[in-house]
Amino acid sequence: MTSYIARRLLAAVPVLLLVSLLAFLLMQIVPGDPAHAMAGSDASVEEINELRRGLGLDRPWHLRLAEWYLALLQGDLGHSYTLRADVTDLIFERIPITLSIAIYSMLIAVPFSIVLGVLAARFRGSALDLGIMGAALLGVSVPNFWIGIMAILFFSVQLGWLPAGGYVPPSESVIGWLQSMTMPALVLGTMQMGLLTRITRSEMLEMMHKDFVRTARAKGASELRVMMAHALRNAIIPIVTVIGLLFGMIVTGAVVVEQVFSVPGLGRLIVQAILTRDYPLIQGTLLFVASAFVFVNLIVDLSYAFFDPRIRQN
Amino acid sequence: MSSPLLSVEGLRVAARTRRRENLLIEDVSFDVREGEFLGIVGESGSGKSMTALSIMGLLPGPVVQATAGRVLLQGRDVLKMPDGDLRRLRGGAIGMIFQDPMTSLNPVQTIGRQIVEVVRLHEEISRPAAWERAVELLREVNIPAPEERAQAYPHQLSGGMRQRVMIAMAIACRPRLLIADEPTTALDVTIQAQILELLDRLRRERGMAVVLITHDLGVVSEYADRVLVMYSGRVVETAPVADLFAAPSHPYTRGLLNSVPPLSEEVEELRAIEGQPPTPGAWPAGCRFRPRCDESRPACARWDVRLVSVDPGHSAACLLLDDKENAHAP
Repeated sequence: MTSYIARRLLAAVPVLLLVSLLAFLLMQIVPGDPAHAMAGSDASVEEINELRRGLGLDRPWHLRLAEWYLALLQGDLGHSYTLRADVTDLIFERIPITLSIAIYSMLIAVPFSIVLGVLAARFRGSALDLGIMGAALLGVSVPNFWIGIMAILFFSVQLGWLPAGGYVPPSESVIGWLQSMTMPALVLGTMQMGLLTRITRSEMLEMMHKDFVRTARAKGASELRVMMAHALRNAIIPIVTVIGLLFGMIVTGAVVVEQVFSVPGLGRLIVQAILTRDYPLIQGTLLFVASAFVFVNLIVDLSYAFFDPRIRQN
Repeated sequence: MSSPLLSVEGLRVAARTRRRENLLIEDVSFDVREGEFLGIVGESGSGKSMTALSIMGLLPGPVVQATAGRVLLQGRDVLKMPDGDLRRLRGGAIGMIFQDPMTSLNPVQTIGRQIVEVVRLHEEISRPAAWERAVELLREVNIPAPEERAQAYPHQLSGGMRQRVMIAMAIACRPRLLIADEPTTALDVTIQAQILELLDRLRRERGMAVVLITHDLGVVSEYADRVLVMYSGRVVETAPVADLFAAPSHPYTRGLLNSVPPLSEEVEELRAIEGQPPTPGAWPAGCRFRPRCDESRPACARWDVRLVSVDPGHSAACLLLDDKENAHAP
């Protein structure tokens, strides 16, 4: 088990190095650089060049890349140009915010979509199934930002139940924190719910034709028991896989949702870093996001053993 | 004589699609007495499995449904039973085992837990007591070290062991009837005999009836008291096993017997029945075996044939047996 985890973590290293290399090269290709962004539009060429020298951007890119990797080996993600703080500190400041939105949205999405998916499978072809599948399709296809704007119009402007945006730390007010997180989590959860409901339904439909489900019926189990203890229990493995992948998509979703609700999370930090061409911050945040993705998928793979005794043995 | 344990009367099962209705079983009738070993023989598509599922009320509805007839178990019609009664019946008065024991067991539960489930579904009994019972049942079906095996998952057992587990599960609540749907098809030949021996032993010890569905006449000859031969959704012949082998009356039964290698004598060549059985929905008019029958006559296409008595307890559905009595307008 430990050796398996060690091997998996080791295998992640080249992936992460490649991600940061790609991020670095991409920023070299994209026009504009931090000096331009920092100096403003009416700065002279000399001023800009001065800034570039100050940031060390006049040196060849491969040297800068090598330096960045060397620093990384010592656990140093560098210093942000624009926010004048350590990239590591900036990331860790934002993690709790994005993570709480992510977990909150998962807490909404996972139970609801499993219940809806099971119901749709059980009553396949009925009006209920059609309704659930239609809603799920909408959830997947309507863009996050539009749902976000509509949610603001409805819950904040019309009903005045929830704040239109911003962030209240839980240290200040737990209720305020929950209120500020609710809409972003709901909006973020919509897409996940759509996907997860559809996956649950199709997995359940497949399981319901399995021989062991017929055996369960032949034993005299009730339909509810057949569905939950036998069909769903076996469908849970592919469902967990999708939950793991969705967790990765949350970061992408967070970029949009945090922008719409002006929540100062990791997603907004990434957007800000890219807009100001803040190279160290871009590199650092992307590396962090990629690591988180690798880590979550490792957890998912480890959880298979928990759900499936056949995997536990090997 | 007392009334039979199970009495299937004029059973008809159809698969309904939006456009049409395909018959899968038509006018199937037979009885099973207490403690009897009945073999149902037929090729794939003959309706033997559908017959078994009908008895359990387990037809894959809403598409496949029994559209006529009765399935009386101890006098009550299974086809008209409310769900709750049906659930008490399944795993209670009737146990069933299936063809492939690998896929028929839940892969993520220990076998002990799967036996406990059936026990607790039918009896008010504590978990530890049900577990004790599961271990006892595993011992009864000759699983070595049952205490440890109860903790095992299906993938940790061999095919033969898995089928024993299925049998333990099926007999857990002392059923009066055990339906075995091709229980040995997925197993090695040596294991097949062990499983059949086990079924027969349990039948004798527990006095339960066994309905064995198979395409293997050899198996039937050895264990069954009586045989039902099915072809294209109909019963074509039924007889005590000795009579059937001594004097098969339907050309299809004769064809089947000719295609089984006898153990006693050398044969030059086995005679297979020519052609393929027709698929449901494409059944020919009149006798359904007619296109493959060596002895068919023009009249076979015109008349629908019914079972006629050949000897006491032995009947067959063939026009050759008795033209006048047998034939009736379609």
